[in-house]
Amino acid sequence: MIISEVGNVLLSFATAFSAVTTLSFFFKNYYSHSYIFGLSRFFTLTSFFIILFSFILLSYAFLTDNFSILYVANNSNITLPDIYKFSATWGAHEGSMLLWVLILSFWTLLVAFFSDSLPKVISINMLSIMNFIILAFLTFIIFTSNPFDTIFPAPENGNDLNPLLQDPGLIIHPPLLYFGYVGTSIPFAFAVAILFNEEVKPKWISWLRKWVTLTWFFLTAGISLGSWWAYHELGWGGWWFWDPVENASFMPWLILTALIHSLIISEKRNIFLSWSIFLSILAFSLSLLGTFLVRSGILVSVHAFANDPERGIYILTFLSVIIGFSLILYMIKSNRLTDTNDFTFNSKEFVLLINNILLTIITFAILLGTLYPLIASTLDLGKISVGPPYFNYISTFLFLPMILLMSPAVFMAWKKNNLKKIIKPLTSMFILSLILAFIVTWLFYEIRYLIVLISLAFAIFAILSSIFKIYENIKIHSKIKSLYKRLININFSIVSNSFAHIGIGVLVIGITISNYFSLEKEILMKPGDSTMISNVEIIFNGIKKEKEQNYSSKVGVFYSYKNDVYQLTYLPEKRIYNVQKNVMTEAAISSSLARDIYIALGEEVSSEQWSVRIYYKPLIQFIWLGVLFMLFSTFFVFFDKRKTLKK
Amino acid sequence: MILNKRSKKRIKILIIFILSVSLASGLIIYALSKNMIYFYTPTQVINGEAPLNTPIRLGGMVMKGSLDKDPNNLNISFYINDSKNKVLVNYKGLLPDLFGEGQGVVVSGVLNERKNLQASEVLAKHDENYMPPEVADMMNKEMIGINKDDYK
Repeated sequence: MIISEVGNVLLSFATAFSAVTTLSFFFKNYYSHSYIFGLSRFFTLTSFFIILFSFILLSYAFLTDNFSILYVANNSNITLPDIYKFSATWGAHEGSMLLWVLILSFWTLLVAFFSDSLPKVISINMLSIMNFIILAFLTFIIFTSNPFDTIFPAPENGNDLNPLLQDPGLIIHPPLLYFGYVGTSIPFAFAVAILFNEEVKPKWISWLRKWVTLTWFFLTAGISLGSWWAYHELGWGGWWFWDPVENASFMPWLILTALIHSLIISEKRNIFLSWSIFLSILAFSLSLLGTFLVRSGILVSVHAFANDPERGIYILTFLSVIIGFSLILYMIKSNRLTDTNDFTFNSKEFVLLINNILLTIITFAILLGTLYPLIASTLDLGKISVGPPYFNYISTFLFLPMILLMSPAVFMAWKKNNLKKIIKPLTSMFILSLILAFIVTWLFYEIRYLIVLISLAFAIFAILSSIFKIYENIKIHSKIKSLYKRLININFSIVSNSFAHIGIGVLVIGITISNYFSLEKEILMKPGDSTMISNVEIIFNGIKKEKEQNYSSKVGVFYSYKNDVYQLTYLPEKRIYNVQKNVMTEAAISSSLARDIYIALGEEVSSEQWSVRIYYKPLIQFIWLGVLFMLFSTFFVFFDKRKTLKK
Repeated sequence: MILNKRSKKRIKILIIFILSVSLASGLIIYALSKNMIYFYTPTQVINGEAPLNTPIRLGGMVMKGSLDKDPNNLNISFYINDSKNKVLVNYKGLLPDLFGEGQGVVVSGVLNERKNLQASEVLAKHDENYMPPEVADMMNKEMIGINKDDYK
């Protein structure tokens, strides 16, 4: 009982501190700015520690099996392993909202302490806006989703954590994703502050770009971990389902990607400022929309576990207020941010602009596909679902031109480009890419689909041009003898964008090949049966039974042979969790760079005869390898020094 | 009218922008219209509201006692029902973990005759308490007065 009371008091105090900090926006001109900033910073710090403490308190309730707390009783159980008791803190709606606010509060804290390169008035406004968002979500938690609500009499044992969530990947997937989602509040707060300020300096843009990159890092990591988890846990061999909630995280990702590029232009050339500001608002709006879609449970989704219209309405109202307010502000004020410089069609910035527009169009197409079922059902046009073919179709046709343009964009010069200089290396690399794509498909796969050749060629083009760019960069400094000086002189912005683009190329290769050349078998097997998939023979040996702390499982034993030589043992499982009697499939996967073999148990159809699903997935690991390159690229962004060009 | 260099460029940009956006919108709308799948209840199917030989989604309850699995291959058949009518579903393949008689389900596939749906996909539920919103909605409309627990 005491935990619940302390928890509620903590949440109320945090609310009060955020409310006070929000007010600094209105009172900043009555006192000196550095005084107000100091206060805001102190309140932000205090509120962060209060929220952190309430979060620790909730985890403590989980670890000590305090079932008098309703949320704990619903989502934990005495037999649950400790690590999952801890991760259950954010395993369902209430706790995950608390984590949301905690992370938001953490980002706010970082802004409070690392914004020295911004003028005080901008920092104060940003802190005020971010605290307003904290305030809104804290009241949301207190009134509609309080994790500290009690239950009386307390049950002796809890209802257990959803078995699907009892997985190491899912311990870190939500926090990473939330760091990304919530991080979009930084560009948003910056955008609103700038709109009030009506002036912007390249130095501030440079500051923002690093935070946006960090946010992008977390969102990328969170999304890819989610897809990695889906591939390993859902037992369907897929890694991306165009599920509404996946889309909800992918849309802010696309906009953040566009924003990073448009900020590069804004910083370098002092143009497209209002476009950057618009993307900043859009990214946060889409993050909020994502939160709304997940939390209201109005869509058919893997993630729709909380069905509560009241929560949906609260977030929807907040969403409309935020989007409405910031767009009106944008319309009134953004025209004062007119670009001082001009640009030509034959320049890097123009190609980047085209890719920006493409990214935005893809985002709206995904938004339309995601929301269309909702719109149709509201307008009584019938119950409709928009399937994966729609999303695959639009992403094929809209991403491919973008990937093609990536390579010239890297080579083109700012302001005015000398076409003659770049046309030779680009055409030779493009022809080389076409030949390579053709040879690779011909040697290892088969030449059947034109679209495979095209996307492979584009992807290889992106990789080759990025490698060439790094090589060029190193060659320039080859006259410098000292290794240290040579390292110092490396242009880190080129290194980071090359790594990111190589990552995209590798990712596209993985998606294309695994999509078009996967093999799938669904068959019945009894012990002793064997089947061939690609050039591998799979033999079913039988089933053994095992018991663990909180589940019992049937484990299938499969051996793989290649050319009659034994290779591996696969142990896919069918688990039954003790408390909720849920059945879970654990696939057995052997991964290598060239291919994955994926075995999942179906069910016992008749005595000892099991339905089995076997996949052969070539190059699927390239997907996550590409993501690793992209994540790695962000590291260099913190060392690059871009110079703003004069007119 | 004499335009200065800057306005000329702006007009060019605007034209490129409008062209690319309308091209993309055309593509998007075409893709959307080709890939919309309508959801029907068994009663709507029996009443002839659903088209034949077109991909549709059908949702309802897996009728108790109707699940029939062929022991020699992966052919499966079952009825999906609502309060009034039932539709036979044929499917070949593995079923999701939480599929079961008396539980809510959504399948997608093609009606090859008025009462028979050839399913290509049986949609997985991810939580035993979770009900596809379409099915929950249908139950609220059609089964007022019937205890929901009977259908768990």
